[in-house]
Amino acid sequence: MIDPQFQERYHRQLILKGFGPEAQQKLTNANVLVIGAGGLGCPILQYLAAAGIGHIGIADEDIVSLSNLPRQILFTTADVGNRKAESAKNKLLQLNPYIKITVYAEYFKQEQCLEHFKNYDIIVDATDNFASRYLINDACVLMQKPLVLGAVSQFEGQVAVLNYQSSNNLRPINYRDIFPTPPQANEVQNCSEAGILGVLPGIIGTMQATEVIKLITGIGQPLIDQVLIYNALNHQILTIKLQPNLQIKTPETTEDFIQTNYEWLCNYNEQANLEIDSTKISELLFSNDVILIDIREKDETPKIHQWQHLSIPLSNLETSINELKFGKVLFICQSGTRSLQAALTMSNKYPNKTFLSIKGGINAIV
Amino acid sequence: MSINLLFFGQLSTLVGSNNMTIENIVDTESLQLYLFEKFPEMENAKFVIALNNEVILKNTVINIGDTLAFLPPFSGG
Repeated sequence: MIDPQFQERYHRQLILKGFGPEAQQKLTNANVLVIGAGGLGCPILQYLAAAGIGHIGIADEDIVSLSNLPRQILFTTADVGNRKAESAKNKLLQLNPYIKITVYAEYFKQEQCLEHFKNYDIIVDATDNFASRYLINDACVLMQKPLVLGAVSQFEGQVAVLNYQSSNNLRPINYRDIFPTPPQANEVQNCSEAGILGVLPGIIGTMQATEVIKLITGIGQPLIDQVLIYNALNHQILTIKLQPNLQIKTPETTEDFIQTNYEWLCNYNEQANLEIDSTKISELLFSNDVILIDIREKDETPKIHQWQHLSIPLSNLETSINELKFGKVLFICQSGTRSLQAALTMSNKYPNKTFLSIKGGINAIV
Repeated sequence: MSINLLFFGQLSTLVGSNNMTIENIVDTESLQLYLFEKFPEMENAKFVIALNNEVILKNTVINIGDTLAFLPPFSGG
């Protein structure tokens, strides 16, 4: 769609020395896919849309929850329970109606990467888990797509431009050159365990958007084959030059890529992490984002009276879970076996949500 | 003059500080052994080492005044 007020809207960029109409046109012609519309994704999307990137893809299967709002600045309290990708699209089109936005409200696995990456010039990793980070990295290597990576932890963040095919003949650096194998689930804390200062992904996401704009327009020196580390507490920035690691391997064929089990590599199915003690139930349910689900069949007793809960038999779980607007789900059954199975299956299917099983089930409580 | 060490993410929690100075360490391998002995949990942590702002992948000689940064992977977003 042609913007009738193009000159006025982009005036400050058009008059910018070293940028101008040529760079602006490059932005209009660009296709950028942002995976993850969370803490990093929101500011990235906002600035890319505002800057006039012609086509933006948004991939996120998650829904907005209240605890997202301190950092996921595209969403309002009224958006809680809505799909992030759709919600983001609506906000971005209000900001800039003359760009094209494609929504993928699904979790990106191998198939989605292979199908959609080819439509984009740059892939932006704004995800929040290692399984996705290694998957996206490997897909970018396989499909020769530049990757703008961002990641945060507590008060610090990392930004890097990876897999950028330079004119020299050297192999570009990818994420595995830095960290060859994924950490196990218990080795590195995620934001929901370790916490995150809301403004930090705003800074890191904005840096990622800056790198995208630099790569597209050719201005400045993008962080190609480098990683920048930022500390919000003292504003210290360290830029590290990366090196190709000759020991590493990424899937070389589509087949190898499809066969790689990223969730397993990251050990997300570790049972111990999915089980919690029944004494924690009351405390957990104190949060509005948490729901207890009794997955036993309707006729099983004793019934649960002490906590508010839903009853969804295991057989119906797959179809019903999609509708639930909670970030954390506690499953309970008679002995803790079926609930663990449910937590494993659902964690695999919806890796961005938390599913826990009550250890020992009802038997442990009565 | 001594050698400067910078720790990031969970490594700084593990070590108890963002930075540290040490002396009398000749190369990165002996530095790691020294740190693992002092902070045993570090041995199980994933990280990459940068010497004077450049990632190193094999044992490298450390000179007085060098800065070594220990970078763990971050998953959050």
